[in-house]
Amino acid sequence: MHELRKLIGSVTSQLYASALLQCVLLAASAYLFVSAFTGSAHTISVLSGVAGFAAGIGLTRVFQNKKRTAISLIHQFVDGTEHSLHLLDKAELNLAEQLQMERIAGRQFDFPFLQLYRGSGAYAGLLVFAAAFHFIYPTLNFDKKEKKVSVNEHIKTQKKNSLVAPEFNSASVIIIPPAYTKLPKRESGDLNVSTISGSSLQWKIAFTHAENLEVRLANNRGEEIAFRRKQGSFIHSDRLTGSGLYAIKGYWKDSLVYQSEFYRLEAIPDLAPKIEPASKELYKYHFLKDKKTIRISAKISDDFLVKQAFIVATLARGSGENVKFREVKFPLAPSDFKQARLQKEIDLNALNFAPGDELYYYWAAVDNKTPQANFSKSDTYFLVFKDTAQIEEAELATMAVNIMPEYFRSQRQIIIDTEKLITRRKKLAKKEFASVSNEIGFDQKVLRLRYGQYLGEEFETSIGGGGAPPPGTDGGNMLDAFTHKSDGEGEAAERRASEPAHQDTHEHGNEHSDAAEKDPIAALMEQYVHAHDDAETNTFYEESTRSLLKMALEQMWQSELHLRMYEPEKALPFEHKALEYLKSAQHKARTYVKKSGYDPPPIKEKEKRLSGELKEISSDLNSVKFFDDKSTAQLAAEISGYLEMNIRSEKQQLRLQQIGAALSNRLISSGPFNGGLKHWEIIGVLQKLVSGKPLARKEMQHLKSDLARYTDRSEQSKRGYSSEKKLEQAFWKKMQ
Amino acid sequence: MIEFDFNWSEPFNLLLLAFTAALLPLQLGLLFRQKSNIPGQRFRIKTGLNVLLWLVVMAFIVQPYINGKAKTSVGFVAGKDLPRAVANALLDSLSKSGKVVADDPEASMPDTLILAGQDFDSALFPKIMQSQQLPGFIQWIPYFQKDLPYDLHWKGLVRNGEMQVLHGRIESTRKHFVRLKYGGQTLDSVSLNAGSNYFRLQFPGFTLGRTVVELTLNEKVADTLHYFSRSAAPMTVQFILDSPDFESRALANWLGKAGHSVIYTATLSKDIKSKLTINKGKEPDVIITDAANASNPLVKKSLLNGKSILFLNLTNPLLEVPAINAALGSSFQVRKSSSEESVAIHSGLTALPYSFVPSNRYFQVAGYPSAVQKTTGNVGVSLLNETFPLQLAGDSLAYQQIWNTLLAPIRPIPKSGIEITAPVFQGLGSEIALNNFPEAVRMLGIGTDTIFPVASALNPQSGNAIFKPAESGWLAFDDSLKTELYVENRAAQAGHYHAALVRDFVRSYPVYREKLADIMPGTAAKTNGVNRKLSDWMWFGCIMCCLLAVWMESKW
Repeated sequence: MHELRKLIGSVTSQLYASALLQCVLLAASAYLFVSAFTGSAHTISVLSGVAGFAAGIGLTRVFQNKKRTAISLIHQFVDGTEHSLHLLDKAELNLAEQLQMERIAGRQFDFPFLQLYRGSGAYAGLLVFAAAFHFIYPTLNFDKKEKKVSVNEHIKTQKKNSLVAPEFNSASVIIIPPAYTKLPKRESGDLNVSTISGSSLQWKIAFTHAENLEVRLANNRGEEIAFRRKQGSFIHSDRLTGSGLYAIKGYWKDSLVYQSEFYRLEAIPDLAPKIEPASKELYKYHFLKDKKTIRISAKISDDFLVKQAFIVATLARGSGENVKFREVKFPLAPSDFKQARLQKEIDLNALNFAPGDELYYYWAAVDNKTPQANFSKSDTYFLVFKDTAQIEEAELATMAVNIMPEYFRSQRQIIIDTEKLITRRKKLAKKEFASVSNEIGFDQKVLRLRYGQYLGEEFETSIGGGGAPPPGTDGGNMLDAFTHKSDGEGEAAERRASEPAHQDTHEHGNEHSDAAEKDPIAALMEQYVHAHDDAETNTFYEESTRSLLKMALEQMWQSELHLRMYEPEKALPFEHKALEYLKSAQHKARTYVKKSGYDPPPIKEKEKRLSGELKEISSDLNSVKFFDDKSTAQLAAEISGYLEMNIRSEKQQLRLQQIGAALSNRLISSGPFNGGLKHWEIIGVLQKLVSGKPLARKEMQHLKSDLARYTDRSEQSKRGYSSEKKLEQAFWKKMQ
Repeated sequence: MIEFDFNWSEPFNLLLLAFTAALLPLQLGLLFRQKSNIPGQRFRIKTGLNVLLWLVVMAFIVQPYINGKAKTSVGFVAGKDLPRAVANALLDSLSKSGKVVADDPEASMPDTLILAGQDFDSALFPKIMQSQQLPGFIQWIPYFQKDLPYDLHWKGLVRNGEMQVLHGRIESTRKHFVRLKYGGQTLDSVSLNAGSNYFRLQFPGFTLGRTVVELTLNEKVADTLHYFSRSAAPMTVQFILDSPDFESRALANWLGKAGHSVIYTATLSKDIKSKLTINKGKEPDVIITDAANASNPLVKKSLLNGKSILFLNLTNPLLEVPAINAALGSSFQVRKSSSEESVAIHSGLTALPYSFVPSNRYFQVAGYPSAVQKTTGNVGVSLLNETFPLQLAGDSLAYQQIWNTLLAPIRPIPKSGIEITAPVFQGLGSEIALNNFPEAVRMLGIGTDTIFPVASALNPQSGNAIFKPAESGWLAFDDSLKTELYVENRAAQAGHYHAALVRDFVRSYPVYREKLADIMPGTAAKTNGVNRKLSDWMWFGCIMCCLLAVWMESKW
């Protein structure tokens, strides 16, 4: 009995399940079918699905009680139930019915449940068809239609989101290198651009929607350029001329909604052609016997193409003021190459290269850069045609210069020679030393004679050069001629000064002959007490140039004497004195000339001299300087303090921006060849920090190391401790 | 003598006690209702058993104990971080030394309490402080993991350019390489051998503001040092010269570019002086002059006022140094060190062939022939020859190094000096020393907290205070310089915090004990005994027995 009830129950529930399955299948089919048309408008599809489900309920009548259906199905499919299952529902059974029930209750029943789902096959087929339709239908459609749909969709989404701030979608940059480089155009999602200078760049930025949105390109100095709007995305085109950093900013209704990190913009310059001539010898001689053609070669290359290479030769002919130049340009073949070894044979005959001529030539090349090509040239090579006819004269000329003529000897030279001799004394043999000393003595004599000429003393003998003339003969006359002509008599000092020491004996003999005769020792002494060297005595008086010259000659005499006696040390003071006199004679002559030209007004001595007045002197010697710029070390140190500051006040942020910009500018302006390119990383990270973005640990580490390198890492102050002044003073007082 | 340790101040305890007390009338009331059914004998037994049960429960709550004579004098508490083996070894060695050691100080407070390790139950310290019998002496045996630096301390605040010094210790089992790193830049490093090591690393503070430096042990970050670098106030330097020379001119320009103020005065002729002022210099802090000006009244007066004097461009130190000594009361001594005309210090830098005689009265600047003596101000003498050729040759870093080093000891004492030893822990007191504030500091705000410094009796310029931070992280001082202080988080730096906590406790304990003895002279005189209590099992047994008796009795 129980078994029967259970069977009926399970069949009933399976019937419900089957009906529901059919409803679901129908709903799914309807959904798939409709969504193939409506695309992503899901509401319609869902509604149709619901409609499908409702239709399924109507068809399968799932809401009806299925027990009867179940009993009739069991009667139909199971033998031995004997159409008596409805007895189970009866409340009170009569005897026959009870017997019947007991009879069938003992039997085993086996119900084929699959029969219940037979109706579902059609629904499943419908679903398969709908699914196939859903996936195949869009491909069957025309392209045009689909585009329309997607555009519509795009517009729809844009409209839908116009109240929400747009979000960054994608960015790409198209790099078109200059046409001459023949480099391919490329598009990359990496906004770090590193390309040849002169390339044109086009950025394309897409946001989720473009309403009220303005996109700008900002450089690290804060200058901004707006992007053009084109079909919902933003475009900016520019030509790359220099290196720098940039970021992209998006403004939506006056508020910054997007800021990218800083990207690198690196312009690689197009280099000028490289010329490597085979010959390293820049200066060559050409002789008559040589071949009349010269063969030269060079390797020329460029990073793109060498448009044209040529040789520029200049022929110079003539000498002195009559020099003529002729320039010839030889274009070289081939042209438009990347790298080539070029050879050229220059026919000297064609150039009319004659003896004495000079040929200058250099290699030059231009590349294919537009609008202005790079030009480069090699060193200039010289080819000189030796003119044998002129050589001898030239050599003669040089010989003449090498030999120092007698009249170039000077008193200074004699002093130098003497000093040299003195220092070399120990090294030289006695004989050699004596000989050199004698030679210098000879030089001194020659010089003396030369100056003597100015004084009208034509002959050697007239100045007593040829040994000591006997006293009292004509020596006195000669001296008279010296002393009296210039300064007049009676000036004892002057006279004394003009007395040549060499001739002391004559002179003094002349003047003090009585004394000498009386007391030879006194006379001898007098020789030593003479104040020849005393500048005071000599310069107290106005002396004529002539007398100075004479004094110089006297010193020369004395010097020669000692030199000839192999006593260069003793000669030296006289030589110096002679030089001094000669120089003062020269100065005197100059002063005289000057005086004749200009007569200065008399100086009012009392007013001007020694008054102690400083009225005319500018007393405002105070000046003020300011160094406003902070040192790089200070900037780096200040930035380091912001690294650990995650939340910054507006003021701090502003300050960071200022110092960050100052340091970046300094690093950028250090130039690409001054390690500038190496600074990209630190500049980029610095900009990231300034813009308030969190730094990755690695970036932070790099920035820290870089900043530490720029700071002043030496000890600048010691730990200090201030104490009570009086106590401290007392302490130090007691310490002493 | 039975004593009680019941805490009457706890409301919950009182409630519990009241509830337990109320149980007896309830029990008796219930019993009396049944009195008529029960014969008299049985009723008395029943009542007796119930009262006994109530008494046992009551006693369990109150926990009476007997203070008996102590068998041990030394207590031993091992921290949670102390490995069992180490704790046992310590106990063994203590027992062998003839002392009886109890490793359960809960029972009683012994005369000597030994704390081993750092990580103790947070209730231990309050328990010790609150116990009636305070231990006479607390000894701490720290335990630190091998190969990990500990006991680190450094300056919590430095001036830009001042030396930051890190002291630390490590028990190493093998060779270690300890480095201080800022980013990838190594600031200082030391190689340590196996064994117990003390290390000291230092570098000049080169940053401004919050600074984080990492301590690495064999390339692994072992600890992070936080400190704040304060900006150094620029100084005013006055040059007093008889004639302007290139050396001092270059130095004046360099100082000006470094942000300092300079007054450059040179006597050109009698009564004619030139004066160049860079960056608006006013009152000079440092005077740079040559030896001939040692007796210049301005120089003398400035020194008396505590300013610093630096003598440059000496030509004959044997004559000039005594003249300086005579004029300014210093006691420099030089002797000729070479017969050459000059001696090379390093490439491009030469000095006079003299050296300072080592003395305690002045100290010599490391690496350079220069000495500084502290009198009322600082007097410095440099025997260096010209340094500007270095700058002209483009080696401005060497020039900067030389002059920073020479000027460091004669710089004026910085204003508003604050010193604090890092690490500062949340919830632990740290001493803050203040010095040379423009006016005495009554109170100083730090974060949301305020400290009230106590001025020193000897030196009114300085004061100190104990700061016990409640917050962690960077706390800003309430001053115009925007100084900040880093407070370590208690939880994040647990290891170091525990060590600091124990150290703080052990250090402050004798003071506390003395103070307590002053207030309550009676307590300290008592000898410590042992508290005997019933163990938890005994209590369990008692209560079970009583319950069983009550239950069994009713079954009869």
